[in-house]
Amino acid sequence: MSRAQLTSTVEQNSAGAAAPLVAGKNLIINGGFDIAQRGTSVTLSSAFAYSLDRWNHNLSSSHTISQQSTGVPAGSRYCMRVATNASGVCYAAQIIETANVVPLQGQTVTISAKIRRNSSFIGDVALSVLKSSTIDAAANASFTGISSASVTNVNMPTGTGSANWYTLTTSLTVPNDGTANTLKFEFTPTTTQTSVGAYYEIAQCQIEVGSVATPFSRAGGTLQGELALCQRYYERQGLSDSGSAGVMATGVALSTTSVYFPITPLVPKRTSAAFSFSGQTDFRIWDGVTSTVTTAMALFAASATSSGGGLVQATVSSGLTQYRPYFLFHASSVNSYIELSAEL
Amino acid sequence: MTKYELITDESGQIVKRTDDDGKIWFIPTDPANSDYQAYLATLAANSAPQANSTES
Repeated sequence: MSRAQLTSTVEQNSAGAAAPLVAGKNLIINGGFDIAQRGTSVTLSSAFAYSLDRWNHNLSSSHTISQQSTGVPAGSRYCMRVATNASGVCYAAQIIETANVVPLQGQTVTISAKIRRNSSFIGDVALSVLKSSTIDAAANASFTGISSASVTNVNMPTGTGSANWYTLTTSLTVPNDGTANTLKFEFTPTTTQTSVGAYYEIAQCQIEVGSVATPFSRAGGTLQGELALCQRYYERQGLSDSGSAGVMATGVALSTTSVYFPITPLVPKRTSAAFSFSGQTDFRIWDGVTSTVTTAMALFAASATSSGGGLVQATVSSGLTQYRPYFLFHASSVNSYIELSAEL
Repeated sequence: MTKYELITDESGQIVKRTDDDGKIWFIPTDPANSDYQAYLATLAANSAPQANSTES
């Protein structure tokens, strides 16, 4: 840490110097791109979809978002690449919910991030903080800018070494007048990309209280802390447990064709969660003797809890015994999973 | 094109969303859930009755 950074850190903490790696300093969750529950490479074609945990993308064409490990800045293991599949543009943004914005209101904060590009990427990139008066505004809500920093194309490194990064940073005051209840931290390329394969990479994203950017720190401090923060918004159950031992839930048959399985979130969600399944026939139910592959999976309507749980209805064609307990498993050779999303 | 369907079962209502890639989401009718907010916004934009399938 430089002397200036150390001095700043000391000044920002009236109780004395703080360690540079400290949970809670950084308000950007997964700013180091360690967590990738949806997969380490995700191709998106719909606007306002999510990729690596907590990162949302407004886009005008298909892009592939991936976790990368080559030449990342010192102190991190990963960065995120936003690569063009067809002529268009793709932003990368994170929405900060109201509960986490309130401590920033009226405060001077500093944003910082590292960025680079490949040789075919054209145009500049801006890093902006935007605000919405709406409580917990969704990613596709209307936001207005507060402040931004930008880098010109020529100043963005094209090398792939750990030192080939440009640091974007600026300070701003978060309004305390009711106009900033939700914040958006967003990278916006200024030019439509015309070359397939053009990409930019970002690393070490941070928002912190104070007027000087200090060294990057995970929002959750540790990897487990970061995962837990991510799972407040989204989690995928079952993927890593595939195989015969991968019991996902236990439930009871209420008819000869359907079993109800309570699904409890690994981490309580921000609000009630939407449910999705890897596939309608990706699961099987088993009573200890007979195994039957599902024909449909659904969330029972009134079962969604405010913490993100719910009752999943698994349907089969026939042959169950009413009121008998059953296990929910992965279907053979399928990496089945259940998704719970309470994202913004 | 995203397709919405409001489903009613014996316990209440839930929104079924089918994405462009065929992925299906079941969305609770909770105003705090952003997916449900998107459904309501689509309804408002289309001025469609709630019980019908809706596309955005």
